[in-house]
Amino acid sequence: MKRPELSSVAVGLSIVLLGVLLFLQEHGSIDIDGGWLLAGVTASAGAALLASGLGAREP
Amino acid sequence: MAEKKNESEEPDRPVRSSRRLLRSTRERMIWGVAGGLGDYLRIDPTLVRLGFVAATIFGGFGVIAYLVMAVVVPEDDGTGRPREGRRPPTWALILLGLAVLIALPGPLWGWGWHDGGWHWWGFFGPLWLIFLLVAGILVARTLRRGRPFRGSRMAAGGAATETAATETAATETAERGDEPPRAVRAIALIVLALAAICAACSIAALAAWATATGHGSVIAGIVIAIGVAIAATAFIADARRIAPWLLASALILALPAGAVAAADIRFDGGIGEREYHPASLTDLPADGYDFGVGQMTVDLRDLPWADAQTVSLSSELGIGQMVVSVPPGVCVDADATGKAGELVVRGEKSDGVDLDIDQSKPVGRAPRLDLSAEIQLGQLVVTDRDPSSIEDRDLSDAERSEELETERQACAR
Repeated sequence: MKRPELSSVAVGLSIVLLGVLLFLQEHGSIDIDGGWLLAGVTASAGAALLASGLGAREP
Repeated sequence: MAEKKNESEEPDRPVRSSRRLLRSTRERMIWGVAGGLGDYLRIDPTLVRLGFVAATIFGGFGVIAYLVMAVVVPEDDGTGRPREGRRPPTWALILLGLAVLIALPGPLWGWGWHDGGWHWWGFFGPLWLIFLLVAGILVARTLRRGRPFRGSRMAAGGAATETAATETAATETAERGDEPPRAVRAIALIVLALAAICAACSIAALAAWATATGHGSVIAGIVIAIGVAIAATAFIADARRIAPWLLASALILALPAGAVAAADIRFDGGIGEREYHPASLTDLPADGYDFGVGQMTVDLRDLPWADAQTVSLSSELGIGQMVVSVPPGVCVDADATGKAGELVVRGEKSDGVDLDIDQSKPVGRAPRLDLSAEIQLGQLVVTDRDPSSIEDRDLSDAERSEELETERQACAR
C-alpha cells in the first residue's frame, strides 16, 4: 500500500478546522474577528506548506 | 452516472485527431461531451466539466449546452471516427437552437425576458452572449464539417479523394493534424476562465449571503465535508488531481463566510421594500423594526406627538436605505451606528466606515424621539421631510443645514 500524501492530509485537516471555526462562530461558542480569521487562514496555509515540504524531503 | 472510464484501456488508447469533435467513448461520465471537448481542445476534461457546471449555475445554460451537444455531436466509434447513422436532421437542430435562444432567460442575472420586456444586458449578460456565440460556432462547425464520410472537401492538400467512406475519414483525420485551431482553443479557454471566475464570485456571494441570513452552519458543514474529502484524496492516487479544485472550492466558500461572520453582518428580516406608518404608540413594535436588504421607511409623522413625550424606537437594516421621518417639532436623540455607508440624522452626517452618531441632547418640553438605529451597509436618513423625497438620493448641504437649524430649534424648547 502506498503511503498517503502528507500535504493533502494537512490541507484537508486545515480546511476541516476552518469549517469547525465557522460552525462554532455560527453557534455563538466563539467570537472570531477579522484578525483571528486571517491568522487561521495563514496558519492553515503554513501547515499545508510545511507538510508539503516535509513530504517532498522524504525518499 | 457512474464513471465508465475503463482504466485498463488507457495504455492502448489510440491517439485520435483532436480536430474532429466527437463524443468520447472512453473519457465519459454521462454522454462523453466533456471528454470529447477535452480531446478536441487538448485540455483536461475536468476543466470542461467544471465549465459546464459553472454555466449551469448561471441559469441552466450548461445543461442546455450539454444536451444540445449530446444531440449534435456524433459519438466516437472507438477509432477516432464518428459512429455511423446517428445524425439528427438539420431542421431539428435549427428548432433546437431557436428554442434555446428563446427559452434561455438568465433570470438569475437580469438577462432575458422579465418585467414585461427583453433585457439584453443584465448582470453577466455579456457572458451569456459569449456562451451563445461559442455554442453557435460549435454547432455551425459541426453542421458544416461533421457529416461523416462526406468526401474529401475538407482535407488539406487534396490527398483524400472520393474513395471508400472509411478511407476518406481516416485520411481527413490524418491530414488535419493534432492541434485544434488556435482561435477555437483561445475562445474556449477564455469562456472557461470567465465561467470559472463568475462561478467563483457567485458561490462566494452565496456563501456570504447564507452566513448573513443565519445559514452559516450549512456553509460550515460543506467546508468540513470538503476538508474531509481533501484528506481522503491523500489515500486515493486517482483522486489526488481533484484536491486543488476541492481546496479552491473550500476557500471560495469559507473565506467570504468567515469575513461576514467576523464582521458580524446579519441580513435577517426580508428583502425588498418596507414602509411603516404607525398611527399610534401601540403600533410601534416592542422589539423595533428589523429589515434585511432593500428600502425601509419608518414614517412617524402620524404619531400623536405630545409635549415632553419621549418615544423610544430601535431600527435595524442589513443593506440598503433606511429613512426615518419625524415631524419638524420633534427633537431626535439618536444612537446610530453602521458598518459602512452614510448616516444623516437631522442634518448631522457621518460617512465612510465604522459609522457612529451618538447624540445626547438635553430633555426639554419638545416631544422627543430616542432612536437606536443600526445599518450594516447603506444609508440611514432621519429627517423631517416626506420620505418619498429622500428615497435613493443624498440630502444636499443646504438641506442638511436647514434640518440642523430646525432640529436645534426643536430641541431648544
